Amino acid sequence: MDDLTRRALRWEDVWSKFRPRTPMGQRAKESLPPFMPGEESEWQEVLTEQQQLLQAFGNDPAGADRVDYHLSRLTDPTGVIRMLESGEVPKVSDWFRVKTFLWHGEKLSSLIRKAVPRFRMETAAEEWASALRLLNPAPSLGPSFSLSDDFDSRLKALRRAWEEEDRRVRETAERTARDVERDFPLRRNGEGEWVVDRRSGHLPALERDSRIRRVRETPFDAVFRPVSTPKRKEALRRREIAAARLEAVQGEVLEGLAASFRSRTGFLTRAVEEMGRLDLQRARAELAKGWGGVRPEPDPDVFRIVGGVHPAVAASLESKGRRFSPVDVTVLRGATVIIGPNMGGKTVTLTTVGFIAALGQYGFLVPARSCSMPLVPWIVGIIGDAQETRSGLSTFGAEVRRIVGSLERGSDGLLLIDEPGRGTNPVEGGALAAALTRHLAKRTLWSLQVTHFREVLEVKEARVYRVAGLWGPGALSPEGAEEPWERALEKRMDYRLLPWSGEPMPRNALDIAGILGLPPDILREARKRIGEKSDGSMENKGVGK
Amino acid sequence: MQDRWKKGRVHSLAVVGLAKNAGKTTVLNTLASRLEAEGRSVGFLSIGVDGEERDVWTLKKKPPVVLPPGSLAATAASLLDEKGGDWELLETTPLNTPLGPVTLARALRRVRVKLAGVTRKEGVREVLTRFRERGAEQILVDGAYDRKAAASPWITDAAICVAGAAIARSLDGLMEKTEEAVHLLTLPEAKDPLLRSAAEQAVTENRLVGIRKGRVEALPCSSLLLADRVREVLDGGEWRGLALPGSLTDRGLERLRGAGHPVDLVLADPTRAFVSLRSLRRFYREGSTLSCLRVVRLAAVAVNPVSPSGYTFDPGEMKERTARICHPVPVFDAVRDGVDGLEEIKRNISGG
Repeated sequence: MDDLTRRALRWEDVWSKFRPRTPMGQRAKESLPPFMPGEESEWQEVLTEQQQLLQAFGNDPAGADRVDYHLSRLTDPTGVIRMLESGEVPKVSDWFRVKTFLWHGEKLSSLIRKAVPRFRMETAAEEWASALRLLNPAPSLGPSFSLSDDFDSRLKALRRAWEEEDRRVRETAERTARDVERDFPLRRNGEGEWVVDRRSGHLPALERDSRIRRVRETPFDAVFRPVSTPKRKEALRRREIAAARLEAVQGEVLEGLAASFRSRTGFLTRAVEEMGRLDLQRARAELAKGWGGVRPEPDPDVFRIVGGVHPAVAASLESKGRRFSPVDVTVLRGATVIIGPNMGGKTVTLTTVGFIAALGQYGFLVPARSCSMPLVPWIVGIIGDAQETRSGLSTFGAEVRRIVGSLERGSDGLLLIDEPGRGTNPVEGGALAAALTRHLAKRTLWSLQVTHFREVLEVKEARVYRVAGLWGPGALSPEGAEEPWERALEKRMDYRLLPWSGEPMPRNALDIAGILGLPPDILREARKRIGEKSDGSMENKGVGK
Repeated sequence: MQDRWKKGRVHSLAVVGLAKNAGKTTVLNTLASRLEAEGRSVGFLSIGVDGEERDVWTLKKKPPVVLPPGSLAATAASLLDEKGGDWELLETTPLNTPLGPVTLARALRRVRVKLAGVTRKEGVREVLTRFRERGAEQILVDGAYDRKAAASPWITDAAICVAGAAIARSLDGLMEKTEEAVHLLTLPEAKDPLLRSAAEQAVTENRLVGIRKGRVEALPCSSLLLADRVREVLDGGEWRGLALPGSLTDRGLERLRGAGHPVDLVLADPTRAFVSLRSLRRFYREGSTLSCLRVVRLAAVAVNPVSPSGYTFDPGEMKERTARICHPVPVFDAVRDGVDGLEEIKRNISGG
């Protein structure tokens, strides 16, 4: 799908609601490829898994909440895996990231194994458990991480030694300070310093006292700290040694962890991919739940959609108090054509078909009552105005260039065209549309187009649908004139697609223009002109029979 | 002593500076020492970045934040690696800092740390909740430079404001700015039920809400800075009261003077007031009032007479003058008064 097609199908409106929770899920979404022809079994497996997820957690909201809880807390250890692969030694915060991943990943893995036994898992429960144990040597498992004493039998003693030396350092400092405070009316502040007013009578004595030294002064204060006694210096030295020993063993623990996990990078990589995949599947299933998605069945030849809905269009209509009319349509290889009045939902049908096809190819349960479809290598939607001012292409030019590009593709994809030929004069436009339809009918790709040109109907090989259209006599009932056009239109328009069986090309444009509020005198004039012209002249312009 | 804190229900205490280098970290460390001595479990977090060794702007060395053993900290995980063995890392939050996600950790020993700040109010509230769930009895919130937002009653229970010499070159200038800041932080609570109702609606709907003829009416704009809309509104009738969902500035006050009659103005809380005392005095002289839906419980004002730029004010004079300005809020000097200076703060908090 190119950007123009994405835009035409309102793809982003729905794609932006596809929200994996984990960093790996979000990354997988960014590079998610559609399923391609030849990948039907993988495609169906992905869809089956989503159905199973929905089934398993549909009646177990607490279980679903647990899955979401763990997914939302899953960290991404990819950076640490790279560190291990390049021979680096991860730090404490890196191991915490790995442990958080393993803690929540193991829970998810276990939950899914129980709830959806056929969900594809690339890792074994034992792998999770043993990796987690490496980062949690204490008997009780917990989500936090520290270099606890259980990592190395020497740690406990070294920590105790450090604490002992630290206590000595404090004691020596405290002893000196207490001595000073006994001799002078001073109290230390939170920083362990004495701040003395320079006008204080004690200042000369303090300056002379060998137990303390002045560390700084201001125009108002002198600040003193205890002088380091030989005892205190020794205590400091011993604490430093204890700290160095402790840090050396802590370093060894970190190196040991790195060595243990280096042989597990394969597992970690698979685990990250697995969690990303689980997250994608859960996010897909969540989104599809919103539209009551069904599994698209594989069919190598036919797109068959019953009750198809475009969720973004449906939501827009709902916000205006209107309702989406579900689409029933079958698109065979060759040419399929939709005719119908303006505002009859033809383009929406085109968009819905393209959207459902694309959604299916990206592995989603689709918004329809039923759907079967082939996997195609491309989907192109030539819908709306693709005028390219910079490259000097008009609406017509841009449309033709995109048709050419699609026809030149060597494979069979899905081509959606909205009123080909409408951008030029009706005589040539009609001829062009008919010729294009004939050409498409002979091809093995799938094409669906909307047209107002009756010449297209002359292509016998094309499969044609018509929108049921406006019902009831005349354009407007007297009461209808008073209500908003959207409501008036919805009341009178039957959006269903029916197989065409030779009926004349619909001529409701003036009725619809009336509903939309075109002044009656203009409409009268238009009707008069239709009456004045012979049927033949109108037919030549392709507007009706 | 502990009971007094409990009675006052001050679980979270913001330390906010009136300027960069005001001396917040020293106050924070003094509070931490005191709480440690009482055996209380403390949680530390910052709004904005703090705890760097050197001030980002002036490059002057700053005192580190020192956490007693057992304390909880919220910071970026990478900042814990320097002394990795001294921490138990507890959980990663969904909140982000430029240095990575905010991680909650428990200090296993006394440890110095840089606090990477939580940037949004909602984030701070989230961390406060998680700290409480993990048993923090007292939470100290370091409000980074100019972040008086940390003092917001919607975030913390009480605040200590630090007035440092760095604010102004002269003691008179410092006093003027301190008076202004303290006046704004201690704006009174709106008592009139109609005003409170208007303020609640303004906060909920994020728009101006007026009072006229005894009725509360939502107005079609969200700020006094939208000049044309405000003029339209003011011209539309005699508004006795007005509730603002956001900030109040001098320009906003000026616009209100166009009403031609006194107005009772109400804000969500005092941290939304960014007006000068001069404008406010003029506003008051016209018979208008300014109050808040929720007030800041100002536990104390800490003074620091030393500026990192090299000048110092007379500590005694500064404390005395500040105390006069701030009365009855207690004033203390964390460096000179030592931990004893905290007694009055505790009394103030427990006194309600």
